[in-house]
Amino acid sequence: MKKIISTRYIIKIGILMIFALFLTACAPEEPEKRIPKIGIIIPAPAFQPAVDGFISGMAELGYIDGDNIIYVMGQNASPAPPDLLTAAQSLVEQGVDVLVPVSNTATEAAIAATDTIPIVSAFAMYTVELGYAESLAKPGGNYTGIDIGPVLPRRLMLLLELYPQMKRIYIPYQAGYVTAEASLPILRPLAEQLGLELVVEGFNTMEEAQAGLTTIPDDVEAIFTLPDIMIGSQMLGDWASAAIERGIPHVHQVLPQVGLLFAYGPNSFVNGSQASRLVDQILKGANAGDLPIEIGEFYLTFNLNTASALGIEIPDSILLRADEIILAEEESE
Amino acid sequence: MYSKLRYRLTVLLIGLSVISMIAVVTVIASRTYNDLIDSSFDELTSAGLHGGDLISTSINERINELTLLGDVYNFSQLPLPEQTSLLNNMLVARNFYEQIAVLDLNGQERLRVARFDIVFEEDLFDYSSSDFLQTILTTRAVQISDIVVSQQTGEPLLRIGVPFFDLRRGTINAVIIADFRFRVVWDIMADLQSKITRPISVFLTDTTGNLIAHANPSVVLRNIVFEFPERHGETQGLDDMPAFTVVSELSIANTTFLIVAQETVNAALQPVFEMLRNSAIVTVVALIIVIAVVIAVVARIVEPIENLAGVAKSLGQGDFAVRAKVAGRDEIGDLGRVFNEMAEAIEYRDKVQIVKLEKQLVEIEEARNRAERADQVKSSFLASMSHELRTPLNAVINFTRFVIDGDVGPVTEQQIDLLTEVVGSAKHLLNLINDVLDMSKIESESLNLFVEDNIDLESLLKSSATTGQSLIADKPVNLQVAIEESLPLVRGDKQRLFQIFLNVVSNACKFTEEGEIVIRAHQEGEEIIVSVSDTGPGITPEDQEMVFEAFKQTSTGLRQGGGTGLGMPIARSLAEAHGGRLWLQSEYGKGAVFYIAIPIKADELVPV
Repeated sequence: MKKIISTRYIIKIGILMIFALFLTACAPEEPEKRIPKIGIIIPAPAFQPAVDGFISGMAELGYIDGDNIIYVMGQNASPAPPDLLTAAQSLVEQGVDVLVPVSNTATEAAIAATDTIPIVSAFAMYTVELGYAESLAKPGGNYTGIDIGPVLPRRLMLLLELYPQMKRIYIPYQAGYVTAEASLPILRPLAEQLGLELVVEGFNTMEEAQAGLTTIPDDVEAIFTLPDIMIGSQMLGDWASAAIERGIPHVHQVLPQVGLLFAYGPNSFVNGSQASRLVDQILKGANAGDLPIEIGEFYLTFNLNTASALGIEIPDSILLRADEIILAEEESE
Repeated sequence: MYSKLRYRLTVLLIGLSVISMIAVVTVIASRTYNDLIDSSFDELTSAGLHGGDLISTSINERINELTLLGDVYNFSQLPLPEQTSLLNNMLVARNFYEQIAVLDLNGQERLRVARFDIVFEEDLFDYSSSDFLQTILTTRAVQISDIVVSQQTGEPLLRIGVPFFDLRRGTINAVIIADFRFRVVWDIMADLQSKITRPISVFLTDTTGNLIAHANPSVVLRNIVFEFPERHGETQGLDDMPAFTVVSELSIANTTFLIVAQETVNAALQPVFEMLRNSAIVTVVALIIVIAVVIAVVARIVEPIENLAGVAKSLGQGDFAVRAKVAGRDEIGDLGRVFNEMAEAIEYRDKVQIVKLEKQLVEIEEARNRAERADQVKSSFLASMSHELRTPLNAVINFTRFVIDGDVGPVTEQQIDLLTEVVGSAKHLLNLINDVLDMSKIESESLNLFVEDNIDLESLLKSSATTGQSLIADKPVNLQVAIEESLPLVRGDKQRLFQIFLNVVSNACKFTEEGEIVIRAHQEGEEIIVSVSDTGPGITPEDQEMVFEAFKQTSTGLRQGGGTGLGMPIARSLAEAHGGRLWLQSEYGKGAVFYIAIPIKADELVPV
């Protein structure tokens, strides 16, 4: 039977089809997008909730670790500023796209390490007063973040609402710690207006602070701790216990479960999540200095166990404000 | 090349393919384009409406909860500490407000709670001159202000004013002014933005176009004034890129906002661009394949036709052995077979024709041979007969002269006259024989010229004139000779040249009864033109050609008698043998002129 299609013809068509497939395969592919890296600096485990909140917020915005985002944790040997600076510099050298410091000291380390890489502080106080930003509305430079500063006045007022006759308040703090030192100038005029006497004592070392637990002035009516690492974080429970022993309330901004009467302050997990929105904007091209600093959301938590131990009945009208109430005999982990 | 079938067919098929592909892609792209635009506007409308719902819900909820203070708690009748506690609860628990103040009818703050500040009595404001308060008091309705910025936090605030009414009098007895944290709206927009899969941007403006809420707060801080689209649906986006835009009104209390949903044209039509890009790649690939296939297919179609054309050309050139390549059972294959059959038929017929021609050639050859032999026989006959005829004629002429001369005895006058007639007739017969012999040689192309150079035509012409004079001795005819001086000497056969001139002159003398005969000769280029003009009867046009036909005489000639009808044909043939010509010009009744052109040195004549 005569061949209908010659072999040479088939070979020609075959070569052409292979060439066509080759052309299709060579069609320009979309350039592989670089996965952005986020460098996180946390001075102490106490700030982990802020990091968890940040990563959770980023996940809600569609960023999956390892897939389209990479988190690089700063390796700082201690919460001391020099170690934080070293960690920040290391992250800069690793080419991170955004730095997310958690705490004022971490923020200062990040600001010292770079003036080009965007910095989004997930947890900082007094960012304008301390010079991190020009203003809350327009921070400028390469900085923005969450400011949890203006919480102290409200906390003080709430204490006075519960104890309207209070006159002397004891304020132990970590001497030299930036946020603690920045809080005092805010509290002092307010206390004067309210007719309060503030008994302020700064401790340089943990040993001094330990010793201080036993030398709380007799006539103070409450302990009001400030945001720092030593007193306000590492030794918070000790001071809360000491307060209960003395029969006086101890209030702070976080961690009411350690024995505080109430905590009114930022929820670091929520603040971290707030910071994720800012990071998202930056990754989409916004300039950090153009993004307004957000005020952190504040949460009020009452510990009725402590209230019971102190023999105080918290009025319903005030309890209504609480975001969370630790019920009596309910132990939190 | 461009007229070639292969080229035209290839271009046509490829062109049709390209046009088809482009048409398909265009139709699909056009439909996709329109669908995408519709889809974009649908999404934009949906996003705008959804965003508007969320924002209006949020703000209306604030208005409701503030209104609830009056409706449920009879707020204005509560003692100040309770009012303070209630507002603090609201402030702290809800996180929606920057501060909440209670005003009396004079516009004086009675209390204010703030999110961050402790408000002392000396910090209370006086709103008495505030237009905002006056509007509330006048309208007795909830009012919303323009966006203001918090001095402390830099956050945008929307001031909501709610009047509280005395239950019994129905009059306003207090006004609550709450600064709603407008960043809640920003958060709503950010949340909405994050849930929209398309690259749609949703933002809020006031009626003058000032941007007041956007998922990206930094955009708001750029103080952008949005220019509402002049043409429905398309405008410049916030990033100055062309964008599809849907604007919806959002009315809350006394204030109207505009919620704008935008999608850049590029983003909306990205699928079309990608489709076009992919289509372009596929089209190019397909085109390459189509071109190759078309070339191959056209070759398969055209090659047999080209082969047939080549075969036809070869047939036309006489090559009947060539055959077309026959492949396939289609019409072209059939054509090839028919072509081959035709070629075979032509070849066969050609062969038959060749055989016939060969046979004819043989016959012709034989006929030729016979003719040659006949001609030879005729020439021999004529030569021998000429000799056999001349010899006795010469004897008759000579012997008759002897008798006329009295060489054989006395003769009477009467005898002399009769014998002179005999001599004349014999001479005439002798001339006739000579002419017939010459004509025979001419017709058989066996006339040989004795060619020599430097022949003096003048002397020949004069000699012929002398001879002619004798023919017109008894007629009133004047014979003149007018020959150009220094007439060049010519190459030719002297005897034959004299014969030409003698024939022409004799002809003129024969037919001219009165008048004159003039013999002229002059050089004209490389020829000598001899003319013999007479005043004879002239020759009609019908007779002019007959003059030069053998054995033919004109009617005048016939009437004159005494001719053989060979003189002029012989003269013309002899002139042409010399490379010249002989012709005449005549008008009947007005004489005739005979012209003879003789080349001075004809190349074809070779002197002996």
